[in-house]
Amino acid sequence: MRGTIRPHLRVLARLGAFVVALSLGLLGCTSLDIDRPFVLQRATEAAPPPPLERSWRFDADAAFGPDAPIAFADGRVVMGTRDGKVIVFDARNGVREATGDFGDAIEGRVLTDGPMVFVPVAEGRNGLFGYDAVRNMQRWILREGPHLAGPLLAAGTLVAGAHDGTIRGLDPQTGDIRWSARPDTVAQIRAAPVNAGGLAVVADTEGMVRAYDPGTGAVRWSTEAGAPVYRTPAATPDLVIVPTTRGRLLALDSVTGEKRWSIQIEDIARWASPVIGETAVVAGATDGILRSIDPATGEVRWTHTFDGTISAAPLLAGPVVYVGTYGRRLAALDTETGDEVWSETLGGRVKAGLVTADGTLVVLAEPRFVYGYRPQVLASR
Amino acid sequence: MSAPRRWFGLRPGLVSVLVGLGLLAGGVMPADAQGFGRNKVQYDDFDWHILETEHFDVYYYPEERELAEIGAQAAEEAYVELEHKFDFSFNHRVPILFYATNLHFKQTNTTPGFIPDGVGGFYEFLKGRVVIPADGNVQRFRRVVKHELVHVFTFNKLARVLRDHRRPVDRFLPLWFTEGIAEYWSGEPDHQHEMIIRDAVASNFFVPLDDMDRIAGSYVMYKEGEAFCRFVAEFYGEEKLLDLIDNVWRDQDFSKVIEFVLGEDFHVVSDKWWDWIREQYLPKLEQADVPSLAAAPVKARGAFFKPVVHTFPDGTREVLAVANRGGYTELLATPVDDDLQPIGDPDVIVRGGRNLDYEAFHLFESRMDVSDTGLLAFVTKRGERDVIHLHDLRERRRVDMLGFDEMVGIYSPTVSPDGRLVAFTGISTGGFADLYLYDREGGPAGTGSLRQLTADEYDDRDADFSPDGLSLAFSSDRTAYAGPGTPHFNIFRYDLQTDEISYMTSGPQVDIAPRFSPDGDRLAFISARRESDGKYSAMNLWLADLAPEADVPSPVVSASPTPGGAELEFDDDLHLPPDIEVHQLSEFTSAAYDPFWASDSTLVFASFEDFRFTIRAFDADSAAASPRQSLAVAAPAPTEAWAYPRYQTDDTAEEARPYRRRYALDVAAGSFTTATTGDYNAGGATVAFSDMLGNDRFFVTAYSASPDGRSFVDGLNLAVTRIHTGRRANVGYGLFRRAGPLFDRGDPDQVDFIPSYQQIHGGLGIVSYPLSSFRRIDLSSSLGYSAKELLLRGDDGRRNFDTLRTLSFSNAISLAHDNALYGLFGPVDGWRANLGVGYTTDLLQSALSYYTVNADVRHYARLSRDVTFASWALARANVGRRARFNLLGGSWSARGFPLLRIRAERLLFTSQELRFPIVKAPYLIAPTLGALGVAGLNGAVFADGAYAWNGDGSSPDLYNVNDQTIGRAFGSVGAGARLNLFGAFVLRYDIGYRFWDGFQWDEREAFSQFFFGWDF
Repeated sequence: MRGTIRPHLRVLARLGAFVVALSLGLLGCTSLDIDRPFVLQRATEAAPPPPLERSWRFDADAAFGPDAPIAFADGRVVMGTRDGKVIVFDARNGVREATGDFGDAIEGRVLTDGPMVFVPVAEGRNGLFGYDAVRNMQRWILREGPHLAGPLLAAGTLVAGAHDGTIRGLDPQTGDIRWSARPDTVAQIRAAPVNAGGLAVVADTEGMVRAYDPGTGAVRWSTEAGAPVYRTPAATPDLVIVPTTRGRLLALDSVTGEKRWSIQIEDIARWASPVIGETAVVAGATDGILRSIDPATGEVRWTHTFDGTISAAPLLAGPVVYVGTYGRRLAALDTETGDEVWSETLGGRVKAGLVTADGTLVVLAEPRFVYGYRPQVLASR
Repeated sequence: MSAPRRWFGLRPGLVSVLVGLGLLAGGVMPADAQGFGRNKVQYDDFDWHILETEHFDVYYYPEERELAEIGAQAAEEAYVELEHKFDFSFNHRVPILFYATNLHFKQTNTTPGFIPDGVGGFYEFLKGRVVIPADGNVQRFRRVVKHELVHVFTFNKLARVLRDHRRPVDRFLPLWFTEGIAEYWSGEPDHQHEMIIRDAVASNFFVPLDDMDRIAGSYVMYKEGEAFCRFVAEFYGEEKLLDLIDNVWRDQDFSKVIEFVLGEDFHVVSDKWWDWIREQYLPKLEQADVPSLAAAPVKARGAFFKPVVHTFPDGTREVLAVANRGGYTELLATPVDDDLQPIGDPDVIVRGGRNLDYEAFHLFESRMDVSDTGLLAFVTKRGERDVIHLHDLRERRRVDMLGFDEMVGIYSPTVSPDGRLVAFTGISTGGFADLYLYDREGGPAGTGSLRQLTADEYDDRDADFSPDGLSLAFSSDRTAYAGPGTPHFNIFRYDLQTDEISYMTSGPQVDIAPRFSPDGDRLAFISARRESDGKYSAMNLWLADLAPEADVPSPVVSASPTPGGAELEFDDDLHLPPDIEVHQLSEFTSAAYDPFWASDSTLVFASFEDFRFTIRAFDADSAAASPRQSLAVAAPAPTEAWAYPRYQTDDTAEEARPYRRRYALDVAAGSFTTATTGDYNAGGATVAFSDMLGNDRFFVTAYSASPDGRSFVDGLNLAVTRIHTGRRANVGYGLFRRAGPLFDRGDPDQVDFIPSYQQIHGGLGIVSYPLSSFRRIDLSSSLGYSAKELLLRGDDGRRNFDTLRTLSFSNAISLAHDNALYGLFGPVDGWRANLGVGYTTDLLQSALSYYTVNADVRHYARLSRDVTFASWALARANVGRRARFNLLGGSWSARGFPLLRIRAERLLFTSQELRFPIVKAPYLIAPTLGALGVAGLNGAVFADGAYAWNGDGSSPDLYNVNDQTIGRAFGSVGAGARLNLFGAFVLRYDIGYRFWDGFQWDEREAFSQFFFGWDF
């Protein structure tokens, strides 16, 4: 009898293994494997000086959300794609170190902390993944619906805004919900929370800007921006710059939420995510104009007009500001004057923010390419 | 705006002929081939140029240069705004083609189908081109430019979103949404939007969100879609509209996308929308009158437009109106009593759509007029331009037909009381609408003379003679209250003695369709005015009192009687209030159009209610005694004449870049098949190229049908065909190679199952010259060298495999006529015919030499609205050596016999069929049938009869059916059912008895036959 049963068991076992494998394949098997933890840059790295030359390019298989990728001190860059992939690559040569599939579109910025990667997913129940990329294992999933914006790590708490408008403070290691806030509105969250002097500032599609204590979820201040916010604000310990969809760019005090100044352009214009430098706030809009603004007064110091919408944050570091446009232009402007010092036409629109790592300017452009630009003298090395 | 695709009919003219002949794939043209179909006639040879703006290539012809500059500026202005709204920029230049008039637009080859009136333009995404006519109303033209650009942005944004998320780009937004957002983002809702929505609410046909497919493609769909977008913007935020496009990748079901973006259940959104609509409109409707209750019916069944009334010397009266009773558009005269109630059946004055003179009415655009002497003036399209017909109602005959080289379109003629003068709106080749006056006896030797009254970019329309014949009242946007983007109209008076134009009404409203009362003391007109919430009111009947007690001068504006004199200025010294009071006579739920005085106290008008136009009578005296409101005509503020902004360019009209043909890919398709018998494979592809105007098309077809045992090259088929439709005489020619086992039932050499192998190399050419939309002459010629391997009968009478080599030269000429009107299942009215002769010979060894005669006449008698009796008579003969066989049999001819298997050189055939509905709208009975695409179920009883024979006296045979022959006379009788699916496919099922030999009853044999296709 035993001799006749064993073959059946083997068949059943193989069948079971096949079914499991098939299920994993159909459901999407998350896997992201890196050999060392991520270490954030201490400060924004100075952008490479123009003129630049394209050093490498790779096909990411899908397009990207509006926020910039995240760069690390060792030259690695992490980004998400709109077909659900997280890609870790080396900014020096564009070589991919790891790719993980998280099932569906990633619109917001992927966040990291040591070995952990926090991935917002824009579709389905699986809204936020906590993944240990060094051990190549999934730690937790927040099954609370789509997250179109990336999370923020502040004071040891992961602050994430769900599409339905709920803000949650999570334990980054376990995914346990420490606190949750659901304002009594139909507002949705499209813009990622930003760290403003230790507060997690969240702006929603109803135009409400709230500063949460990341530890407790208590609202420290709230201000009406006067128009929906779809793009991620910029923040320093002193200042929060809020871009709206109706021509208004608002500067708030990080501590009190009081309005410092605002700029109103055409009321149908949409501001892109701004960037705050030491002496200037730089932001573009759908009118194709990049504006340099005095952070103290809100005075526009210079403007530079491009043919095509500006939809992503520029990169302000050092004496130049880099910007990508819907007109397929990648340009470097003099931070002081706004004069164009270098530009190049790409194969597609630039819709995501720029980032620099290890002397390389990383540009994400349509249809789904990632470009690495390095100073001409270095590009060939 | 963008046309629902359902108006694309069969491609007329040459292409349909070529497709019908299979020539795009290459082949020798049988001389007996024939085709039907109406013609898209290229009357004008436009000299296209390109105006390059920052983002667009504007295609125009020199006559419309001013219009092109206005359109180009409108496009650039729209681009700047839409770039914000879509958060998107183009990385390519968008081609925009402008046509000056609706009649020029109808000639476009950028779309293959016929374009009816009312299509404001379209975006064709294959080449990414926008095509827009102007037709006199520049305000509307600018709005359509923006509307179509919303489509361009939507399409490109959608494609980008789908590609970004790695979704197939075959996913589309629902039509109601794309048209709705295009309407919403192209300007504030106009009075027609309000008319439709008010009527939908009042008549209770407002369609909820989950049922929008039911009104797909209709005008209601456009306006409901617009209302939904406005609701989303106001209730959830303007940004949500773009979110709906940005998130379309999430689900193929758009309702799921709505739920995600708006954060609420789809049905909750739908209910909220309905509540939002009701909150806005129910309070308005509470005080309003339903036209069917407030006005007496004159013609309340069917669709009736543009009424006029004539009283004959004996006191009898007729109400005349343009009507569509489900078939051809007609001009009907209905006898009425003193109360305007019909007292007899209407008399058809003119039936349009059947011949050149009355090719088409402009149902919505052009009203009629009748003089005291009974001279009726109306407009129809006739060939390349509109003409005015003057009919003597008393003698029931046309007395004059007026067409003018100076203008293309003509609208709304008015006749002076004595019938000598005719004033009208003319659309010039430049695309602007101006007033013209034609004196029928003003020229030398009793000829007529034409005088242009206005010459500017304002839209002057709906002129009406004053009873004394000395002035005209007309509607125009030349008012100080209008401007670019502010489409207001006021009523003006044109003094024919002084050429002065003065205000008769003024204000930020839409005043149209003025009519003087018979005594000249009053003027009836239609007005839609802004209400407190900014929306337009319903279109109501108003009355201007022209018999003032005080004598105060009217504000005067100078006319611009000289061409190019656009410097219209409002006279600062004469902006005193005009001495006119206006009274609102009605407060309708929806709209009134085109009032006409039946007497000094009674108006007839076209009433829009329950989405139908009917003719009603209204007691103006009673209403004027207690008007809804009375107002003194407000003085227009003194202002300089306004003008449309134009695109500034150094590129003068003389130096503009001329159009050069560049070809781009239209279609590429490929396939591969293996025969079930496994003895050959076939695979191939067709690509088509055309230029931006669509005038020139190349078709390249290559496929291989490799028979077993032969090489790829042996089975290689190639065809290159060029079709030029840019001129009136359409020309097509090409070269081809056909090779393989060519099955040809008409080939007399193919007698059994053994397939022959054949190679044909040759060329072909065809010229198709349309005489009108209904009639054309086709000339065709082909030359082909053929080497055919087959069983040939030798001198000894035995069959042996041999190769027959011929150089066949075939020529044919045919005359085709088609004015048939189509229903869901095929033609229902009119007639069509094709008469042709041809000759085919072998230039090598005279292996074949035969004449071809073809006569095919089909007539459709409409017994009632839904019942048609169809008759078909066909005579065909191929006479001579190796003459081809003609084929019969199948669901369309000689029913009960195998499809096209009856072969004979000569045949006579007739078919008589009674077509009637079984269920007219089954989807209303069972909604599930609608989801399955069941559009209608028709029945038919038929009798087919044929007489066929060969030159040698033998009877016809049944091809490939064991050499079986049948008698010379044969036919069938029976009945059938036709099922229309999705409005596009017809399934046919027939049962009956067939007769094999001489209609002997004992030869009868029952059959049933299932196939698909339209009725003959």
